[in-house]
Amino acid sequence: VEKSGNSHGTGTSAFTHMIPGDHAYAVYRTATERRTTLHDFLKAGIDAGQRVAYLSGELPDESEEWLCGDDAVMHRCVGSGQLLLVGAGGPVHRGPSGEPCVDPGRTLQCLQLMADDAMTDGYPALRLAADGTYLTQGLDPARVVPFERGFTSLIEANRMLALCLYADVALPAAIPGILAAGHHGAPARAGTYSAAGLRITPTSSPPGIRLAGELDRTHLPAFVEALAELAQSSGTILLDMRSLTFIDVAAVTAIADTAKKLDEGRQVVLDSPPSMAGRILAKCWQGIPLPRLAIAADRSRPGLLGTTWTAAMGVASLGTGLPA
Amino acid sequence: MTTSLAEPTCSSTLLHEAMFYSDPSEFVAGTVPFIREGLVAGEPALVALMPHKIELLREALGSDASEVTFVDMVGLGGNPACIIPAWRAFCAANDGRYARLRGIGEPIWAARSPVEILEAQLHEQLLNVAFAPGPELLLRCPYDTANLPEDLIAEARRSHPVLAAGGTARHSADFDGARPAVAAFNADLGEPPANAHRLEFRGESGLAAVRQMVGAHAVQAGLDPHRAADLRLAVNELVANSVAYGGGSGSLAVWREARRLVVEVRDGGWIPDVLAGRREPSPDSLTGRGLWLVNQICELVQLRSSRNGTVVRVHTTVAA
Repeated sequence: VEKSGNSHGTGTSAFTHMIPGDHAYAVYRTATERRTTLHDFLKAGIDAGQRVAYLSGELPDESEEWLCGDDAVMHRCVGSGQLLLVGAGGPVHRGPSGEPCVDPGRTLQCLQLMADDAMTDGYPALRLAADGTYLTQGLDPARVVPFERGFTSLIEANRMLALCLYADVALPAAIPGILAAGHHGAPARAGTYSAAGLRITPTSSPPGIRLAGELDRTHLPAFVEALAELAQSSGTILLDMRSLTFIDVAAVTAIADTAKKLDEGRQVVLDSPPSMAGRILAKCWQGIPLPRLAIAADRSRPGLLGTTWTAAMGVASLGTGLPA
Repeated sequence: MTTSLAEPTCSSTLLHEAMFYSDPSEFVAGTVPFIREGLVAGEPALVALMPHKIELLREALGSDASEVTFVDMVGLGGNPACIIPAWRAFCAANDGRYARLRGIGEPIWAARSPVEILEAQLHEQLLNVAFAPGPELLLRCPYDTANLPEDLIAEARRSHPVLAAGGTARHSADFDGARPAVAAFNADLGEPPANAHRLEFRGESGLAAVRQMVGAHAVQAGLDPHRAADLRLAVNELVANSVAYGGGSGSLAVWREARRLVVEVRDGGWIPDVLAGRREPSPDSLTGRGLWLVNQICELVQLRSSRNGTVVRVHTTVAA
């Protein structure tokens, strides 16, 4: 099972194998445990080419010293901006630009900005580690769960995954239960496919699936099956790719093939596909129109939704939108 | 040797000429009349050259230049495997409308790196077998004898059936049909260096580890996120091909060579089509897009395949 909500196992592999859309927490007992968990979690993101960030109350230099140690690649990533060390430098919460960020809503706004920046800078995903003890300090324990749930919604709506680290010593007895409620960890929904870095979850109205993680040949049979099932439904087919960070040529081909076979008036809509989807379409369907395939870049702006793939030298033009 | 597959043969619709020149005036003399002749006959012309040569030709052509399509060869042929698709597309676009087309393409110049030149030479050989029936293409390839070493000129004599110099054309005695194209495609690129980082992969479950290793090296090499993403995608497709068609397993090797990051995927499979990755994918096919995409998004790709196996190397320039 991919979803890691609890932290009481040993080892950190559960966290390095998290996929976009995941929101987990870890409770550490020792400084070594904290460092290893955090380092391995961030390093896995660096290797995957993701923007990685650590949010804490520490000074960035301080974080870099204990976290990166003698790992030259990690230090270089601080220099290149792939690894962000976001510290407030004091007891007051501050956002990435140093603005005060004292309330949970403000913190979430800052995180949204960080996710947007990661996409703008060309990273496939934002992998976030947060010092939960610091970010929730002073919060009434009753507000921790709403905060973490808001965080979960944010993660699910972006190409983002997060691990919240809580110090064992700072936890009142009731907190572990509260943490479990605020993070993923519930059993997967019926119909969910989850294997080796990809999760496919059915969605409705319009009928579709939500894809999280990396979609390659390993998952092709399951993906093709899901597409075939959706083709049997009616109306628009929505592929929610907001948490998908990789898609290969075979999967894009399967989507194009599904779209091509749809009846007049129907279409496949890709909601926020990862960058390589556009790259593959531009290079492999150059000059080949796919009128039943649309790309929706921003759900929150329905007027601009639905960019139909016209394949005029790889440039997509505006077309019809998602049904309201 | 017996084989059930048809050996490639020279395309009857291609007239492939090497044109030797040693200074700008010889270059103009070997290209301008050739283009004008075509314009008079109403034949479309496509010219792929380095930017400064395009300027030279535009100037010499005067108002006729507007009748010619110019393409920057540095951009088009950075990866020489992308040049044949451009000529094929030129032919396809004019199929049925014109009986004959003209082209000028200079894929080899002195400043190119040895690996690029090797790939440009393979490209010149493959051109001979790259065209299906369609309009006739008169393709003239300028070679700068003043700046290119003699072995490159000798190879041009082998890869072009017709040689043009000083306003005359003659058949090349060294041209040997389609066989050298196949031999060049079958050639052995040698082993990766001993210090290469290696990963054996088996089955589709190996894909994630491959992407992770490539991603880690891309980050170490300082590639920006877009190029790192392209490299991960390209290598993913190569490994997926190995898993599907190359015997299910293979090996990945990554190393630095001068200012390039080289990623090699090697398997025991055989790709009989010497034009693999250079044929535009058919819209309805469910397969066959991987190698095409790799050629389209990578800076330089080397593909060799024979009965001994397949090797693909992807080269990416990194900061010093």
